[in-house]
Amino acid sequence: MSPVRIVGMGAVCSAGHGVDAGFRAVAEGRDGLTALSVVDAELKTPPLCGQLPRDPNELLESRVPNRSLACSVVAAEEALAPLNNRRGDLSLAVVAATTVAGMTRSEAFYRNYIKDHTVVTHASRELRYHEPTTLTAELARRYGASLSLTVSTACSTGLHALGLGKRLIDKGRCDLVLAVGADALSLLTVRGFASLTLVAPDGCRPFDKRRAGISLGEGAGVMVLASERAAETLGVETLGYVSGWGASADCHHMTAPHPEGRGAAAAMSAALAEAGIEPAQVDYIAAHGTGTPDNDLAEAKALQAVFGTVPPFSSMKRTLGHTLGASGTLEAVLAVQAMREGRIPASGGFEIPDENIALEPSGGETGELTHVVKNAFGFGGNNASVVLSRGAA
Amino acid sequence: MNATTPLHVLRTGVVVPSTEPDWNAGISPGDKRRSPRIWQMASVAVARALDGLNTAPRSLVSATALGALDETRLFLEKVFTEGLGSPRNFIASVHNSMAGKLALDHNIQGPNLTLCDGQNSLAAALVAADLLTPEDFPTVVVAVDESIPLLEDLLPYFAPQCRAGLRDGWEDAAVALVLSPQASDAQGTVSAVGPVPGGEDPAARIEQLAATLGSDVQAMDLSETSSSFVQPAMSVCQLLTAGDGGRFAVPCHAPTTGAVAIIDVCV
Repeated sequence: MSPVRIVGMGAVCSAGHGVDAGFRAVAEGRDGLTALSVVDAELKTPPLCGQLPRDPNELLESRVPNRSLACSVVAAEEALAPLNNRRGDLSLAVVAATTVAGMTRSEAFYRNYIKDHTVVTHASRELRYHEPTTLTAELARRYGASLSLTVSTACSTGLHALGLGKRLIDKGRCDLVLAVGADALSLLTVRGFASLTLVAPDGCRPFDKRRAGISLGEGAGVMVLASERAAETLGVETLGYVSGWGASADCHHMTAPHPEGRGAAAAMSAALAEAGIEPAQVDYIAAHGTGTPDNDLAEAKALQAVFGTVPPFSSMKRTLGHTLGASGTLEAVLAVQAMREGRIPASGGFEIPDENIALEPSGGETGELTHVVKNAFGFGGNNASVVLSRGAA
Repeated sequence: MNATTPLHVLRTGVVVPSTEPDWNAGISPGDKRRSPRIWQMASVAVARALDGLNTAPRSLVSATALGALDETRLFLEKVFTEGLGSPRNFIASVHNSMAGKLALDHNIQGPNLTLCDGQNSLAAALVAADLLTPEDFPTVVVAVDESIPLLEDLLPYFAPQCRAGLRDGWEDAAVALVLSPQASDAQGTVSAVGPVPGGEDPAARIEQLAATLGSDVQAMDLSETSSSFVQPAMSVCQLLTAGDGGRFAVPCHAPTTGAVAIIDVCV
């Protein structure tokens, strides 16, 4: 399989909208977490989250019906801007990754419905966006796609969207892919992770000895992938390449990672194999790095198993929060930007090394970055890794 | 839009609880107590499909419009009424948890994907299966959705196009297909076209898609099928097990989005 070109990127995150804003924040390892205010989660102490600084709908000419979709459209508009509306007869597929889609409206409806069943008359309007596919279908309609896929595998799903998008182009199924990862903060996820006691009271500290859990976030990351012919026809700049995708299942536990990182290592190895590169050629790893004690330890063990001498790595979660369905694509977008700028994002929240991990994340080094591995691991032992490259291998 | 590469169907497994009262008799008491009903349906369908298969599956692709919907409802209900949601309900509410459990139960360590495209979910799953590498086969594709009482309560208030399509009820079922690129004793082959936007006239769009498959394909009439999420999977399975030779285009239509797809079944 061949590397696939990245010809457009877009981002919406706690640092604002735009790839540049997002990259500046992660490059510095900025603390992007604030007390939750965009969702009424009915908690005495709102957790720290990576919230958007403004309603993404305010950035659109006409409002769209839910926050996840608004994030997607804002990021997609940025990603598609280099194409300048001159796609011609090139075929486009939308592959979108989301976990909550329009769930925020479903939650509000159900909260009211429990108290007062007469609100059932609003069911059609309020529940219309509950299905994840509604997000994808709206993007497909808006941008004239001839194929749309919605992948929902929890925290790993954004990288699966990139992987499936890469393979669609590899197989000649389409010329262009809009690969989208998007999720808004919602009561379901805020209260859900709280019920699992996985939320860090003081914000996430990935790979730090004091790490005590995750911090949620919201946003979207979008990449436009193109075949060689499409990129040449459009005359657009190639920003980087998706060179490899690896996927695996832990087969260990529904929420806890395999303690040795077996599935994570398998996903990384598969991605490297598809990219046709050796572990020693990787210059940076954009880790999943959620900040839970088990996840970070398992990921570190997987890194050691695959790489031996582990290249610089960092987590963007203290800056962005864990944006769930968005995290894979959003952090992949910022990892490509890291290659373009030759600067490794700093690992915000990390201060004290953990002797059990025996690895320390990066602190913002500069230098040439040729190949980057991006990881994302999710519920159900679901693992995904992609290799991103500066040039075609 | 071209069809995906046809994949051979090695085995099928079906569960329709409404026609099979003791469908979950083989599930252990512990799993019956702990596992959501939708997981149990998928588990039985996959177990039936894998029964007698002499090659271990390498990957799994699940197709579900709404996942474990009742677990989502239960979690929110407990938050809103008791102030505390159950972690078990939350875990199960995540769309791909079921696929993770199936992988765990059957030690399927390869790619594990979940596609959520309404009634087009099986078609989307077949597109995803077509993108796997040769090492990822055989793959298990499992289509499953559930009917819950809340939906029956809400149905009268849904938009007319949804209500009309769902007039036959939210019948729940699970259908598992074991697929491989090559086989000498397959029941048939399946491939998919779409999902694509349906435009103003979804039925006409489906006819267009079917026409791309050639004149030897018998297209099923969209108006004669229900919009139950698992309807296409049930139709595919019925065609494969009936054994009547030929090619058939099974229509898929998601009324909430208007998107359509067809599944090409060659028996």
